[in-house]
Amino acid sequence: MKAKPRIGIYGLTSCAGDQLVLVNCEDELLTILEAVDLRSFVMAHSDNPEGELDVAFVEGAVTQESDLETLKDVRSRAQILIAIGTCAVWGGIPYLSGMGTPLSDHVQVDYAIPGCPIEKTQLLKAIASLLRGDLPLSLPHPVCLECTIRENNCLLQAGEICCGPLTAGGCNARCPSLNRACFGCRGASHDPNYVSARQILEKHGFSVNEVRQRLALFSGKAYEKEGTQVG
Amino acid sequence: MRTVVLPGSNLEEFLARLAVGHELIVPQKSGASISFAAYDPSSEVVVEYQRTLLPPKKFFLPPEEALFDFAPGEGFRQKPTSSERRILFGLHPCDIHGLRRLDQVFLEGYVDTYYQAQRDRTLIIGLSCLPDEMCFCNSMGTDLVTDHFDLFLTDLGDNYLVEIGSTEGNDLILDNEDLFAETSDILLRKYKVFLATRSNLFEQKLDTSGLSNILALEWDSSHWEETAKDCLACGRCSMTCPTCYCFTIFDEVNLDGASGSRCRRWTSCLYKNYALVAGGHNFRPSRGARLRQRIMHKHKDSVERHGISACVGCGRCQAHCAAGINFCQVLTSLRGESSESIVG
Repeated sequence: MKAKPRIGIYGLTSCAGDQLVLVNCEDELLTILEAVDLRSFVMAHSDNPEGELDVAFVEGAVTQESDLETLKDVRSRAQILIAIGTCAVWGGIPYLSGMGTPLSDHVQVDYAIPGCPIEKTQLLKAIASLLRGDLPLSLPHPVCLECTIRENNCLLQAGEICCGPLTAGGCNARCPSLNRACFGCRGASHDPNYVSARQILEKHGFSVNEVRQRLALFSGKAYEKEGTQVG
Repeated sequence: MRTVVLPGSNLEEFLARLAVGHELIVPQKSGASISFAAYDPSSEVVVEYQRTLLPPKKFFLPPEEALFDFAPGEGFRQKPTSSERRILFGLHPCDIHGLRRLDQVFLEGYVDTYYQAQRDRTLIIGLSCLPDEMCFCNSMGTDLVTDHFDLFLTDLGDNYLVEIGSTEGNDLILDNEDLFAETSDILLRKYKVFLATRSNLFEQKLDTSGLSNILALEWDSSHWEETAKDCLACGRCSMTCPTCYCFTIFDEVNLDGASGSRCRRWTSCLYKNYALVAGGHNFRPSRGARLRQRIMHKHKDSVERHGISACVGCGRCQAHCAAGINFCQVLTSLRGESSESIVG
């Protein structure tokens, strides 16, 4: 039998909510702990040996020198580095301050699990794929796929600032299914058409500022790149 | 074709009886939209509606389904499908035509056994409708059905004229004979009036003459990228289309890292990764190329392969587009451009 994969879980600048999602996988935790060799996980235990890792999960944005040092150190020791949470993937809320940057600005990120917080199901599927020796599947569709499959009325069409078409799916359209417009907490989809979304929202009577505040809240970096090109 | 009459006041009882011994699916209110969903005695069946958000394809090609389980040492186990008889009630002609198109894809040539199992256990009871401003089934020749249903009900006020399309449909009448009456001349006249009246109600029109030829010529048109500037590439038009059947296949692995299920899930050619292949090449990197693919597949490729357009004129794609893209207008613009260039 091959050795259990050595796992480390780390947090940079963030609320630790994504690490908490793993701790909250109560029904699956024993199975996971049997399958992996959990080395470093400050949130869950006090003895945290640091060394070579097969997989590192890193939460949070890089906002200070110590974050960058930790990230580079983890990267140098890990075969696979996975960004967990929108702060790690996109810079998230810290990006708005102008100081927070995503992990991929500094090191190679092998897979990204976005979300604020991440979805338990996506995390578990990712762990299962890694145990099988595969990189997890990417979820390239926007929130609208799952939203339409759930037969929700379109909130963007109804005149709300719904970020669904711009946002990475995988949450099973959690908010629109409760009749709440998508806030975009999972970060940008693979192909966000910010220009069209802005034009639609401006037609619905929203100001440029209102639109920017919502669309750029979690995915500021993607919005700056794509969304500010037109008017 | 044999026809009988169902007095409108007997419909409720007819459905209640059908629900015994069948899984019965009916159009119902779901939030602000209409949805095909399982009947129960408290269900409020909606007999007058424009279009459900998702078409009936969801019962034959589910949005996500496990095809088989796998485990080391055990091999593959195909997922069992229910064999319970099922009735889909209230399908409009466009949706019945939509199923015909799916049958061509999944049952002709290479048979998709998962689709076939769902299709074989299902009876179709159609229902007439009146168009709204997005409907253009009469342009697509899909406003009437002559086959692919078991019963078809046309609402003629106090009565439904019932066309019987199969022996199993006929059995449903025979089993409930007390609810039905014989057709009368007056009703047949009313049926003709209904058809004539309805054909005058269509506002949306699409000239389909030579459309596939024109599309072939307009491959390089600037219209594609121009229209795609508005396209959110959200895929809602594909999900709500009765004939969009693309799916992606993937494995869901269990936490033992070895066993799992092979699954398929709906996808859309509008998604950026759809034409991405190994090595990182993307055959349709721009939204314009992807929008063109969706329209070409409906109105050109399907005509070439099956002799018939894959568009059934239900209007869902344009009714549900948050960006307000009207596919009839896009096609009309393409035709306009080509006729000018021919004259010029």
